[in-house]
Amino acid sequence: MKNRLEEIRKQRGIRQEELAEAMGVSRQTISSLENGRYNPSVILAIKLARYFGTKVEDIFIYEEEQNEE
Amino acid sequence: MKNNRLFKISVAEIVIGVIIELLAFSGIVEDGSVLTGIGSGILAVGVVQLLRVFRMESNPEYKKRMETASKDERYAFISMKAKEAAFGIYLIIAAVLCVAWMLLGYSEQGMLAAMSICILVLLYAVLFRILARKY
Repeated sequence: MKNRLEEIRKQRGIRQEELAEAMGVSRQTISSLENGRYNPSVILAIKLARYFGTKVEDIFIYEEEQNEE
Repeated sequence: MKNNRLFKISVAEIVIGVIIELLAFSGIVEDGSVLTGIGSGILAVGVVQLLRVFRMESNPEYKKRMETASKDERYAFISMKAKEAAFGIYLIIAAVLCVAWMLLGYSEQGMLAAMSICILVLLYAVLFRILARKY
């Protein structure tokens, strides 16, 4: 699953630490999400979407042909 | 701090550790070496946890980091993955040891390794059924 988290976060001028604190997760989690190493839970995905005032699909892009773990 | 759950658990562990150590050294038990080992282990865990509690109390930054880590879903995911890997690796090691011990004639140790595999697999099967009903 690809995501536009880093792009959206930078557009808004928010630091990883700030986003992590707002989401109640560690900075490393935000970093892993941005690098695509970790896929968030539905709850975290919705929280992120609400925080940025967008839809989940605007941040996370599911590609069906990709092998999912 | 007295209301801190971790503080209470740490103190309880230290007390249990000391009691076990005292029992081991009192001579009530014939071979106290096993009890000494268990007591030392519990005592050490309690002391380390207590030190963590004191560090959390004196360092708000560390406390915040620890609280975030305890709630962080990625850490929970990593922890689950690590347990899963440890389970698989343990089964392989126990199976290899079981066969090796059996071949070398240490049948008692081999049986012990085989039993541990059986218990783990049985536990897995039971827990799988219970959790399948829950989720």
